[in-house]
Amino acid sequence: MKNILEILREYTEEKENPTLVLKKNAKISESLNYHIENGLSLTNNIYRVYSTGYFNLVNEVRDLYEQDLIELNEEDTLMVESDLGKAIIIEGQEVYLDAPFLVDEDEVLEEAKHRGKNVKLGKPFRTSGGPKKFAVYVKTPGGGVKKVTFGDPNLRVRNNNKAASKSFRARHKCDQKKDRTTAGYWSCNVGRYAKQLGLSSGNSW
Amino acid sequence: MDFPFEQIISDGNLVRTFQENVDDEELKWHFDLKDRWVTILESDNWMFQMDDDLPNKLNVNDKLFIPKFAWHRVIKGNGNLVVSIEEVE
Repeated sequence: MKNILEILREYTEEKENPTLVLKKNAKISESLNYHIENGLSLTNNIYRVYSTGYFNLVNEVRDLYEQDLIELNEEDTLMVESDLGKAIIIEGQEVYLDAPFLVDEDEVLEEAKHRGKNVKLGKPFRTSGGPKKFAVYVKTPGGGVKKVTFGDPNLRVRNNNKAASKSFRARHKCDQKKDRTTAGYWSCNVGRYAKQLGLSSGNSW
Repeated sequence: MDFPFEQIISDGNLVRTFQENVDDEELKWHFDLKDRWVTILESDNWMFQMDDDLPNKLNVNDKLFIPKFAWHRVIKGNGNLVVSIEEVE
């Protein structure tokens, strides 16, 4: 549960960094209007992640942003400048780019084996309660698509702690991690997708 | 598994109470395996949201039908939320 300091911090940040501000009159959907009226950012999209509503809102805001019709804060700008909401077909299956998702440990083990890592089948490598592993599909500079797996067993706890988050960012030199095709980038910036991933906080690391 | 509500069975229906101090992060998107009718017994500004719809305020005596496998969630309001659930076979 959020404590009063966290609520105050979020309130202050929202006031100092307004987002979803229409610059001119534009025809907008009922769902975007709902977000504007309720002071919600794109990062706090009220729809279930991967739902049609979720991606429709991202794509609508992207269209407005590209026409210079809407003002966004830094976090929302990063979202619309990414490929979030764009779908591609991989092995006959539709997947969404830049949308992190949880992967099960069998899949992680399988990937590790493919990469020649020495893993013991049937030996769980998750601790009780389960460290989370995530994956995301991203476009590579060459135009291909890469699946990046990343994660940290203590993500939930530490991401909600501002001091630990700052320490993590410094330790991992997050400010220097700009390459979306690396696990390091996503580990550093996973806070932006906290709600999608079921994490307790929207803090960047 | 811990659920974010307390439950009793009354006249064959599930009566669930979501306490006002429930952590709103526990009110996750989910779907159920059976169709169900939900009657609102107590609510102050609690909201209900079906997948791809905007949230709607829950009022006492509202009766909602939730089809099986349909994603939905509740959004925390003030005080307790009390609902009666009739599962449909």
